[in-house]
Amino acid sequence: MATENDIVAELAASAQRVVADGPGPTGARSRRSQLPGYDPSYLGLLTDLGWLGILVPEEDGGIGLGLPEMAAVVRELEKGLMGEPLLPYAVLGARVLVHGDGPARAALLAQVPAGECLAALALDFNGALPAVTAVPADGGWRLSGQAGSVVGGVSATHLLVPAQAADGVRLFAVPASSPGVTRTHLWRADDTPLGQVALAEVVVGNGEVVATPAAAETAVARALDETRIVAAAGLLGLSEHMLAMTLDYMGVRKQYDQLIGSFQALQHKAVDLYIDKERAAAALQFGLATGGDPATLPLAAVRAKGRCSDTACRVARDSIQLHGAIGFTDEHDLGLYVKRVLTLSAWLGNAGEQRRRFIDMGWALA
Amino acid sequence: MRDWNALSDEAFRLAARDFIEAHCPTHLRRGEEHVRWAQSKDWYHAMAAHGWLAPGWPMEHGGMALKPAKHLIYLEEWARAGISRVMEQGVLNVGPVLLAHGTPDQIAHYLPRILSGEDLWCQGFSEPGAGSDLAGLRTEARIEGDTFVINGHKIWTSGAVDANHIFVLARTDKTVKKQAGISFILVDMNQPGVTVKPIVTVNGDAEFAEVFLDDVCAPVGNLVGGLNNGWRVAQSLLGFERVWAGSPHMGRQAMDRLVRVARLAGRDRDPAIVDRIAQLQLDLADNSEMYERLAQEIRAGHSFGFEVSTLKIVATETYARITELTLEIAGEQGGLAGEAPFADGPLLLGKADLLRDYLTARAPMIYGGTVQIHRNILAKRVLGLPA
Ligand SMILES: Cc1cc2nc3c(=O)[nH]c(=O)nc-3n(C[C@H](O)[C@H](O)[C@H](O)COP(=O)(O)OP(=O)(O)OC[C@H]3O[C@@H](n4cnc5c(N)ncnc54)[C@H](O)[C@@H]3O)c2cc1C
Repeated sequence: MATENDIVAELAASAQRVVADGPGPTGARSRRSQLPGYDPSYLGLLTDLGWLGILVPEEDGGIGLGLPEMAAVVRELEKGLMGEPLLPYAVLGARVLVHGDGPARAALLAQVPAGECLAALALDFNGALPAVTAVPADGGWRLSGQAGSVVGGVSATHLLVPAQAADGVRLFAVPASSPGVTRTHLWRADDTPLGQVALAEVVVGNGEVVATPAAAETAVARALDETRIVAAAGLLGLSEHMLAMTLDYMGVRKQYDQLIGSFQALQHKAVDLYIDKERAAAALQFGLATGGDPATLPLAAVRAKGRCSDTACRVARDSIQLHGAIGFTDEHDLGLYVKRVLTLSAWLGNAGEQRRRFIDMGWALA
Repeated sequence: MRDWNALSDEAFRLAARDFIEAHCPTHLRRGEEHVRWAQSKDWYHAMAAHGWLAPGWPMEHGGMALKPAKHLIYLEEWARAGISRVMEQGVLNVGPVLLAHGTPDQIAHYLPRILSGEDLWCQGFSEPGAGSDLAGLRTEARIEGDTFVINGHKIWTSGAVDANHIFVLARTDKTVKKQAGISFILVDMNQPGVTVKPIVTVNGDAEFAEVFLDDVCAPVGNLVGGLNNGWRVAQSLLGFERVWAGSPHMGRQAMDRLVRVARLAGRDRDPAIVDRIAQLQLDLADNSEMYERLAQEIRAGHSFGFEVSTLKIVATETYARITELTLEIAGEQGGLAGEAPFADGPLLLGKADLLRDYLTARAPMIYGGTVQIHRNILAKRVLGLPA
């Protein structure tokens, strides 16, 4: 029987092959400021590989693997700048659905692995629930308000909208084509779109409820933390890739008749990046080891996302410095990785934000 | 002899705690780095008498033959109890080096005398001109008949004031590349020509000393591992203990003190301070995670490599940063020697006061290879950067 580790290793190897065969940075470059921010045929490949269903339980029609498996895939895919649209649809959206308790849950979840349901969670910035209200209407609900930060929102089939009703927060699955839904977008640092959604008296039925007030807020919070851990894996992959690029460059670029990699000041800087990367890998491992338990999930997410964000930002900055002017150009691929880091580290809370959560949980003076 | 490895890890941990509780005097449990032999010898003899002195030695030589998992527990429990290190060079280095490179005669002669506390060892490697670049050492040993005649000047020799034996690295061939002409020699310090001059540390301790060697003699039978093979012998030192140098235990103890000081100084509700404490807690937690990963490998019997350099760097630098923030939090009282008074009452940290912690934390970044030297090692051996 294949052990868990075998599956993780196998998935990582497959993801490496996908990156090797994929368009890599060239593809990312050609998609800049283009909707939907990924190549639709790539979504087809992800579907064929079954990866959209990695985090969907078997009884709901998925593969029923866990965060370690998804993290292994995303860590490798980000080295080719190919983590989207797995993150919004197969991680965040899928996990919100998994944690739901409402009538819409099962049918939508069953469509996730085949890519028929691309569900994007509608949030406001910094993980806040959106300012959306739900009022009862004709045996259903009428939703109004806006959500300012909806990753995957521009091409989602469904918007998962947490809405404030008189009796608490309900989570609705709003078909993106519903009358009254307006979708616009901002551009993220990596020139992929960030959806913005306005809802004007959008009518939804009771059958569209994904989570009742008993479960909605927890479902969102858990899915966010799970996604933070997978995003941390992506940031680790980016750190690994940028460090490798930088070490390669230090081994070919000459100044003063010497390889710049022979200068000790630069060697020590590179070692510090390596050490940080190792430490980020350890934090991610902690996150993956403890993230399966809802009780320890928040700390797992805080530590993994905080450390990996911090590390990736540092590796990104110092990689530019160690490349010199070429690292400051649009032409060099390093910039694409740096911008991806800035996008992913800011998403769902950067290192400072995770540290604040750590303090709020009472760990600082523990 | 007891087969400690037959116990469960938990049972072994409890046995260690029981032994410490029953035999370790409280004055050795204050986490002090340095204590003199006169204060620690009863404890040394107690460890020997009960078979707890030499965790890594084989049983037939009076050791505990602990497997890695148990050995780590041993070190953890000693650290947890804040036990000072006592004349450890014999147990830590001489025994293992002789078992690996010594002759049967050397093993039979020296090992029992280490356990009995009759021979107390110190390590004579560093010299005024040879620190990081140890292979540049100039102490010389020439062979006259069946005797090495040794001349030179060792420095920073921990425990030399209490030791009666020193193992030295000395040059025995000046015509070859510097690493190739060094020998590892066991020297009796009870002879004319050996002069020990204590050096007071920045903390006021007589922790190390200078050792002058003027026509000092050692029988050729005291050579370990062959003539001109001393560099290789020295490289094999501190196999297992190198892992411990990267353990987060020092940082953790310093963090406990930091949190106490923050409370005493009333800064535990200052968001600017709490944010910085949180960062160090996160650093410590992730360092621990890295250390645990290596410990697991070691417990599984796998070998380890340059991870120890990584761990040593993060463990010692994080420990130092924690003491820095502690001193800063203490405010003006951070500028005091000895116990610092706070409005909440006198700060009771024993002798391990703030200034002392701050200064003590400098040393681990220097000994056992400075953190810069460990960075050089990683740059070359792990990152493959050009020379
Ligand atoms: C508390 C304590 C106990 C000790 N006990 C013993 C003992 O028992 N026996 C013994 O033999 N020795 C002992 N030592 C000595 C220790 O091994 C040396 O201090 C250490 O090897 C560094 O050598 P050094 O002090 O001469 O510093 P140096 O080598 O002179 O270094 C000075 C500075 O230059 C840096 N540096 C040097 N070379 C390089 C390089 N190539 N690249 C970058 N930076 C470099 C160092 O990192 C350091 O910051 C002890 C030291 C301490 C602090």
